[in-house]
Order: sequence, then structure tokens, then C-alpha cells
Amino acid sequence: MAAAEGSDGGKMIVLISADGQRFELPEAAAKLSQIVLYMIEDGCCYPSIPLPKVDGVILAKIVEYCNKHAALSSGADGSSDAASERSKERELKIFDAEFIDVDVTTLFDVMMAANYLNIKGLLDLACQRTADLIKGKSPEQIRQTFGIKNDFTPEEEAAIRKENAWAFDNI
Amino acid sequence: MDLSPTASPVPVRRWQDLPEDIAIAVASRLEEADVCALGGCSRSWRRACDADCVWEALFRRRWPATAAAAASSGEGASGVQGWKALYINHHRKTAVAISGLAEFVENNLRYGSLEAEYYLKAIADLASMTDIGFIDAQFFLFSRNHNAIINLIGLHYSIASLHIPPSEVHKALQARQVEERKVCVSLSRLGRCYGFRLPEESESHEISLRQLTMPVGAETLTILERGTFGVVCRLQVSLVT
Repeated sequence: MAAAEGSDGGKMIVLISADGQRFELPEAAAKLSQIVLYMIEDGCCYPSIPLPKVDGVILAKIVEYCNKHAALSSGADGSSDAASERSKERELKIFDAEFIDVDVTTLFDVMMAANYLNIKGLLDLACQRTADLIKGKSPEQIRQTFGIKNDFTPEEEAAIRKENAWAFDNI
Repeated sequence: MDLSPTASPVPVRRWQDLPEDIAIAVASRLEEADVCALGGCSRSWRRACDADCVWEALFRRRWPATAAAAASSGEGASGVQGWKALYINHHRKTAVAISGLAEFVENNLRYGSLEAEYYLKAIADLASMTDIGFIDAQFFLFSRNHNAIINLIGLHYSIASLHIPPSEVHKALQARQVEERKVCVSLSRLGRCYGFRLPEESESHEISLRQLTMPVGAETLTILERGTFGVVCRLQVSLVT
């Protein structure tokens, strides 16, 4: 089987999005996705892996995430001293914070794609970002932020407010 | 950000159609008040926010010793009530225990001043109760419904007994809007002895709760901790009106 090779001689994997866009990335980056990893292990990754549930815009982001994390993961460049590990960790943290600073629609799509592709670090990042957007908000503010429709009856809402009073009555 | 024309339009109802396991993963990263607020958004979020695993984690984090004791005695198994109900019950129980303590403090206030022995007893009582942690202190002792001395007891207990970093305590006081409240610490020392004794020397100074979480306040906390000891023959904390 003729595997494509990257500039540094490592194997390259091709992912195809739902709308037919091609993304080529190093195998080490692609393997951050558990399902892609399984497909690679099973040898069914050539010539390309179709991902019918992820569209191109989101897959581009996912590929950006995987490339960065694979490049900066510990020992990727052979160096392993503590100082360089720490600086890589810092760089990844800054990258993650900027990466996930997106509108809630993109956040939702990234979260669903991370779930589908089973990329644990990215799913955690997206869940944490969602939680951070929720913190300190009232139910109505949360609905507005995420465009959630209130499907409670007024009676149910009153009952919930009453039930939740314990968490707020001292504040 | 990618603004290419392939970006799909916003479909409605997405955030309430989140798979439940992801919704639970989000809820698991929140504190109790935020979990309650999120559960008040929609039916699907309510299901996720009532999940047993969310409340079990909140319970274990807030009252680790109680959770462990319940597990070893076989009760507390969520089968009967569920962890959310257990959590709310324990919250209420803790509220009652701490309001007893607040009452003790109020009853021993004389003209707005509390003698050091009562102050120290209140802190010792808190430490002797099972599992009064920082979240409890924030909920019940940093409340604006209590006076500044009770806020101070919570502050002192958090720093000295729970070893919470003062900067964290400061943030919590800020969140509960009590950081600028002031107390007055007064102490009297025995007069020096030159064959006869000079009169007692008294000093007092006002200090805000915020200052008490700073290095300048650490000294005051140490004085309070020593109580009446050695030449210090009287020590009081007073409310500042």
C-alpha cells in the first residue's frame, strides 16, 4: 500500500469533509481522533477517510487543533527537558484559549465534531468553554446566550424557582 | 475566524438537543448555583442537571467526610432519594447548624463587642463540626444577612483552619459584597511594673475584612488567635457602625 508521505517523511492522512473538502495532516495529528486511530489501525485509511458528519469549516478547525497538539505534544521533537516542556505547555494553553474563543454556533459544532471523532482533549476544552459561558448567569441569560427555547409552562417555572431557592436564598 | 461562504446558517434548537452525556459533562464543570440556573433553562437541560452523577460529585467535593461516612455505613446510596435530594438536605442541615453558631455569637455580643474567648470558641466549634468547608463558609458565614463579626469568624476559620489562600477568601468576600465591612479590634495590656503597676494600656484599630485577607491583616488575625494571653488582659472584636 502506497502511503502518502509528508515533507518530514512521516505518513500523511487525508480526511474528507461532508462537503467534499480534502484535508491532509500528519498521521500523529490524525491519531488524536480515536475513531481515525482505529481506522488507521484497521488499515482502512487509504486513500482517504470520509467524515460525513463534519463539514469543511469545522473540519478545518479540528485539523488546526490536531496539528498544533501533535506538534507540541511531549517528546514530539525529541527534546524532553523540563523547561521546554513547561514552555510547550504554556504555548498549548494560549493556543487552546484562542482556539475555543468562538461564537456559540461554532462552539456547538466543534463540540459535536470532537464527540463524533472522539478527541478527548478537544471535547474537554469545548465543555469547559461552555461551562465558563454559563457561570454566574440566570436561566434567562443562559437561554439568550445559547438561543435555547424555554419549553417550561409558567407553573413548572415557578416550581423550579421555588425548588432552587436553597441555592440562592443566602446570596 | 473562518468567514468563508460555506459557513452554514444557524439552525435553531441546537443547544437544547445536545446529547445528554455531553450536557452532563458540561453540568459537571459547574458549581451548585450554576447547575440550578442551567437546569431552569429547558426540559432537556433540566434532565441533565438533575443527573445523579452531577450531584454526587458536588456532594463529594463539598462534604468529603460525610460522603465517605455515608458510603461506609451503606446509607446515602442514591437509590432512595437520589444525590440531589441528599445534597439539598445536607445543605439545609448545615444551614441549621451554622445558624446555631451565629445565634451564639449574637447572644454574647455586648454593646456590639464580642470578647475574644467567645470569638475563639465560635471558631473552635466550627472546626469541631464535621465537614464545614469553604463552600459552607461562603454560603452561610459570608452572608450579608449576618453581621461583620460573623463574616470575620468565617474568614478567620477559612484561613486558619481550612488553609484557604487569603486571596481566594478575598474573592469570596467580594462576591458576597462584604469585603468593605469593618470591625474594630481592641486590646488592653497590663501596665508595666516598676515596683508599682502603671495603668493598663489600651489600643484599638479598625480594619476591613478585605484588609484582613492581606499581609497587613495577618498580624491582626494572629493577635486574635492568641486571645488573652501573657500581658494582654482583654481582647475584643467590635462592630463598626
